[in-house]
Amino acid sequence: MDEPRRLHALASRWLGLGLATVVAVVTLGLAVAGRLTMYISPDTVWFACLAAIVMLAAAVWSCTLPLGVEGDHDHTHGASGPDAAAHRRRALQTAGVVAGGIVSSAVVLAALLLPPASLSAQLAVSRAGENPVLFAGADDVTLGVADTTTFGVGDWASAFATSTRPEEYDGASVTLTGFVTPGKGGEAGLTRMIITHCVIDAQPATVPVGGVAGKYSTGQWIEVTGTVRAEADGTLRIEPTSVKKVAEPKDPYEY
Amino acid sequence: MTSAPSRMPQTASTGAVHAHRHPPRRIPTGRAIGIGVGILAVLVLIDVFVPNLFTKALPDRAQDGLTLTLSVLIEALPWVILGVVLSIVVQVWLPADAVQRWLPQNAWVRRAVLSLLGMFIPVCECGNVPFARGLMMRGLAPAEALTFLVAAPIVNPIVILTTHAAFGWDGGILIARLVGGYLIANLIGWIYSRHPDPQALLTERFVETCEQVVHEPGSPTRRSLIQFLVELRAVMPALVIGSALAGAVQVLVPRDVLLAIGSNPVLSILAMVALAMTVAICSNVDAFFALSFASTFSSGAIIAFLLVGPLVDVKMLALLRTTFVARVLAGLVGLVVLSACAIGIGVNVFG
Repeated sequence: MDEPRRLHALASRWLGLGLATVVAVVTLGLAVAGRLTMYISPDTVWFACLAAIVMLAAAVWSCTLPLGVEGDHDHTHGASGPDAAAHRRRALQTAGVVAGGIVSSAVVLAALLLPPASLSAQLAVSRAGENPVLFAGADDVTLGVADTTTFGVGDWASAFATSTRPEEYDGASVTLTGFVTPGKGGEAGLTRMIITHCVIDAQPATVPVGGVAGKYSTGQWIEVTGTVRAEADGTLRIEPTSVKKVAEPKDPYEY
Repeated sequence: MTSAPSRMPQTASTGAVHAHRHPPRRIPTGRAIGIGVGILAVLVLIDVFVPNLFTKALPDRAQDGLTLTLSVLIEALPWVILGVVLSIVVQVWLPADAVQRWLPQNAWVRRAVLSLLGMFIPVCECGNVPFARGLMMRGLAPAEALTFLVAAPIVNPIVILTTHAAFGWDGGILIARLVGGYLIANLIGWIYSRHPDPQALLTERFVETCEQVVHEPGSPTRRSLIQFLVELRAVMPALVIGSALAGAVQVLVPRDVLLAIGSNPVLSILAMVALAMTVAICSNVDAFFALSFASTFSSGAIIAFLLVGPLVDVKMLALLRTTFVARVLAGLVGLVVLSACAIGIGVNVFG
């Protein structure tokens, strides 16, 4: 095989098998480190891992096929006739393929080389108007059906927003972890990103926390211990007894 | 398998469909596997050690875009692999005339059956593309493949379950979604079946691939492996670029502007259509996402979101572009968006 054709065959193998292999390696690497939930829901982790293993086995096996066997042709030569327009179209197509190849390689290499990161507080603030509907049975609490001790930020945010009898929550003790965001009326909020399936559907959930505003910068992770207080106007907030700075948890999202 | 290593290089060279392909250098199987394992080991080492060298490499916004992109990519890859495996089954292991024999002859009935295929094939929308490519290599017409591609992301058991879980029977959302998806798929199939030159709907690249794989010699195992490489080569760059577009749009387009439009019966539909095309959430779960907008948006807008999102979001369009020419995609987007808006407005007015 001459040199340009060999390079073309290598590039072709990289853009198909190579990209898929790197994503599979990243998937398994995250899974082994227990951090795959930084990207997808715990429910689908097994499926992603299984597929990644199949992918890697097939990748190794496919090395037995010589380069260029997938018959991906170089469109730059042998264009249909000397027609100038056809030639230009070919050149444009090649440019498109090369540009697409560079972009997709860059994204996949970034996945391999850079450490995984959770969504920024800035993004959470920009979506502050959206309310994930997680806990439809907020008033089950009054019937003793729901156990508020297992509530996360998402459950509380939902309960605060939808409860028809907020006074029932008054006095419940809570320990919640999340990051600080600016809330309504100068009060700080404790926020956590809520995910139903994978990070692309992330929506922020926020509960108001008293006495925290101004003490912590936006995006700082804190653990708040305190009690739920119902205001006279029916809104709920958390009155902290202790607030401490913590590092970002290994599983930064709630599912 | 013992005879495979010695036979393989010969079949590859004698069977070369294209005259300019040189006989590839022969690699012994053991060494090839060794090379493969070696490359894999290097990748694993890079994955384990290199990220530790960076603490925070990117600014917030770029990092968010990358995180969102990777989440779509990691989520979609298993489905793509499943789709590729199914396309291998169809293209290599099923008898050549199986697809033609099992499908009814009448064009309308045929498309009606194809639009229900999603009920039995457990593939999400990203996996449908390689699967549909496999079906077309086995002689399915482009218009029929389009019918399947448009129907399957909506008319499938997982989507029915999750949409029911999110909305129940409220406002006829589940029914409107299923019936709407089914009708849009058959409408699109019918329109494109009237095209005078169906081959013109397909990209040159895909037509070449079809010719190549149909004439590919060798054992079924070898052909499976080649099909695996061919499909990954076609789909992976599109998948990565589609995911990157979805990630970039999320951090660049201010979502609150879209959502501020709220409950105006017509504008809200357009806003949700725009949101559906740009967020690229899997059809399996988009109902839960839509549910969080149910309090601010009209039912018609929610239905439009649930119809448009699975069919023509940015990721899906990038994937479809591997196989269909740009003009077809433009027509597809136009038809899907118009039908979804019509159904949405219908629900808002009469619902």
